[in-house]
Amino acid sequence: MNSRFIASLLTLVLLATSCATVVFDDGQVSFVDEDAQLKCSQPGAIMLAAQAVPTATHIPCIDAMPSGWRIEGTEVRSDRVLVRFDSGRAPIDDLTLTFTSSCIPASTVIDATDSPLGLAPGATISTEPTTGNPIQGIRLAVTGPGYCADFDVELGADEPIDVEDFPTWLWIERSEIDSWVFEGTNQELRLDP
Amino acid sequence: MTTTHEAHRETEPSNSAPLLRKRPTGGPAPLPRSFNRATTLGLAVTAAAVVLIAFSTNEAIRDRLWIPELRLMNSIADNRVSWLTTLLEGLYDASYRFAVPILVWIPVAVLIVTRRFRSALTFFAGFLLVVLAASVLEDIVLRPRPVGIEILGAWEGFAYPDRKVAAIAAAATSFALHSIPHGTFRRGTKVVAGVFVAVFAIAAVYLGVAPPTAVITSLAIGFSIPQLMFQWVTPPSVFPVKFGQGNTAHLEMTPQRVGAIQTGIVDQLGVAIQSAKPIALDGSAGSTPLLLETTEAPHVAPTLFAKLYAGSHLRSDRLYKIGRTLLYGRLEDEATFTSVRRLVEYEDYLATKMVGLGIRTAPCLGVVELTPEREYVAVFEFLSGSSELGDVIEAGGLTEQMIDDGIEIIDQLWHGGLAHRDIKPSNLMVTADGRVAVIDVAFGQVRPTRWRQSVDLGNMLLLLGLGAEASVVIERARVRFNADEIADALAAARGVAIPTQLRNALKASDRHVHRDLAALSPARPKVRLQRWSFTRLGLACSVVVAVLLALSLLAASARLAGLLP
Repeated sequence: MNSRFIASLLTLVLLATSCATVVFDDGQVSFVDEDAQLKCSQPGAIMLAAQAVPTATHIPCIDAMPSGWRIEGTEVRSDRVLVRFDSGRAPIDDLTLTFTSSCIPASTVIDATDSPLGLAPGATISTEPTTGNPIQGIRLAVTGPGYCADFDVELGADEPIDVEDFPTWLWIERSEIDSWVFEGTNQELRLDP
Repeated sequence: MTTTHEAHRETEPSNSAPLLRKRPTGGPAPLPRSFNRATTLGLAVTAAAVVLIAFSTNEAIRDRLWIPELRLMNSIADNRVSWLTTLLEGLYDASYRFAVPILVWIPVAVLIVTRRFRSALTFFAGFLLVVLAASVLEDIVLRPRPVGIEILGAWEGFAYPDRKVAAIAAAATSFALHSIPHGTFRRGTKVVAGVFVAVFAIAAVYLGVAPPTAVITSLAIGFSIPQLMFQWVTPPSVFPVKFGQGNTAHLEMTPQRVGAIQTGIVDQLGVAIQSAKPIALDGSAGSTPLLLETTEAPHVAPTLFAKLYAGSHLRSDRLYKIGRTLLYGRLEDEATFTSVRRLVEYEDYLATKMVGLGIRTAPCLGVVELTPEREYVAVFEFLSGSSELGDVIEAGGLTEQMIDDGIEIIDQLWHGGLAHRDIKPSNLMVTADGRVAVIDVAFGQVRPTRWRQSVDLGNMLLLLGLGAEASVVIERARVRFNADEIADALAAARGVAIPTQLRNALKASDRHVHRDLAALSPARPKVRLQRWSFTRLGLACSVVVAVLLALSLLAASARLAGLLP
């Protein structure tokens, strides 16, 4: 092996290292930046989510992640927020949150007030099984005033799941987010007009 | 008869040539490397973008910028006019939905169809790099969309920089640079593209989607990255945007380059040149061949041949060798040259070495530096009045003398410890006196393997067999080579070991040249061409990983840009 070949290999390794934030997912690549995730410690991301769903009275944010879980990617656009998780272990394979202004609730309303999903005042949680060949899953829909948070769980094994294993969520009131903006702009502006 | 070596002496500039400079002047090279206006502008805009982004990551500075511009945006939003809002909403939505795919996919497809792969890749990579850079930067700055304003247009991700504005700017810039030939039409396209991008940017601010500083930064990124990639990867002086112009490996003979060649040859070889014109471009991809007409002077031939070498040829040589190593393993010397200077030095050395061995070839009269380490010209004697051996064979003019000459050349190469490695119809010339000379020695090799020597002989026999009976060729070859050597040569000359031009000529021939020649020689099993080594496996794995990574990154960036679902 000549020096040029070794240099090429090193370049490749450096390239791979520089792409450390690139996460492979089912043959796809997404760009993940920790600061841009919908975490309760990231006011910028929460504000952006609030702008994406301007009707929502509460905005979800991730308070804590069980060990082994990681965020695969977050997409925020003018009508929805999408957060994809990888649990890293069976029976849950993947979890996707889609936060929009509205959705059709799931078939069975459940009492999950103390679950890690958390519930803001006025919100309800419903569930139903989802089918997909060959993957089976469960849908958990949290609906509240002006919003719907759809948790889509893909199961990697045929075992019962426990929502206690989920990431813990908090729901931030829009008025609280407004106060951050209000403060940041010398008490001139709020998030919404 | 004048031998090529004597001709060399006739045309060789002497130290007393009045035009020759004994030492470099110390001034600029004949074709100095310079940043053109477009590159300077691209760098300046990049610097401006970097400054803006740096400001945006500093809380104290950004508040001074952001709050006033939010006030401005509030004022604009408060005074929106309904008809203008409707118009800009439609334009904004349609522009991103249709313009980006049209401005990217169609030109890239056209560039691929017209075999301008480098431009296609630069276009696509430049565009995706902009989207990727915008996406990464927006996650660093973390600026929400404008607050306190009703946002009327669709958006994605954080506001600073705005991915859509950057993508539109990149698509328009890349389209104008890579798809439109230089000249009035490109200038017109730039104006139209500029207006289009400006309207989109204004719409983004008016509709409350992105603040002005984000739009300006996005425009800077969207313009500068494609502009710099265009100038550095596909510089127009080397890769001019032209369609239907044949081999794109050749350098454009701009007035500046022709002038530099004239100046360089006068200063460095002492020969005044009237004109420098490209010649036989189809037969050469490793350099740009030129025909030089000299100013009438004693001891100077009226016509010279030259080969122009630049970085593009060096890269082509590297890619060719890497490709061969991947496909066949290390059949022979596949080491790449480290610089253009080394490449041209090697050709000069081999030509001089062959002349020294008495091989009939065009002697190298000298090497001229146009741009240090980047562009050189090797000047050769022009074999005046000569024809390609391939044409002579086609016309049925192959003589026994020519057969003997061809075989003698291979014999001389073997004795000299050399291989030509590119024995094909266009590399053997029949001079005005009916003798055969070999040219284009740049691919030659010192101390070749037995296999490579056999390939040279085999290819020569096949070439001569196109114009003469197999029995005659073998009979003449037996004068200098024994039966085993001939049998080895015919067993080795197969597949990729035969240059494409010779392979095509053999296919076009109505005779089965190889079979006829082999029938007159001892039987030999075919020589296997595949060579396996750790280098080949390592290289193959690296290339596969790199390609997969690059494709994944491209696909991810294309999805970010909305080019893929």
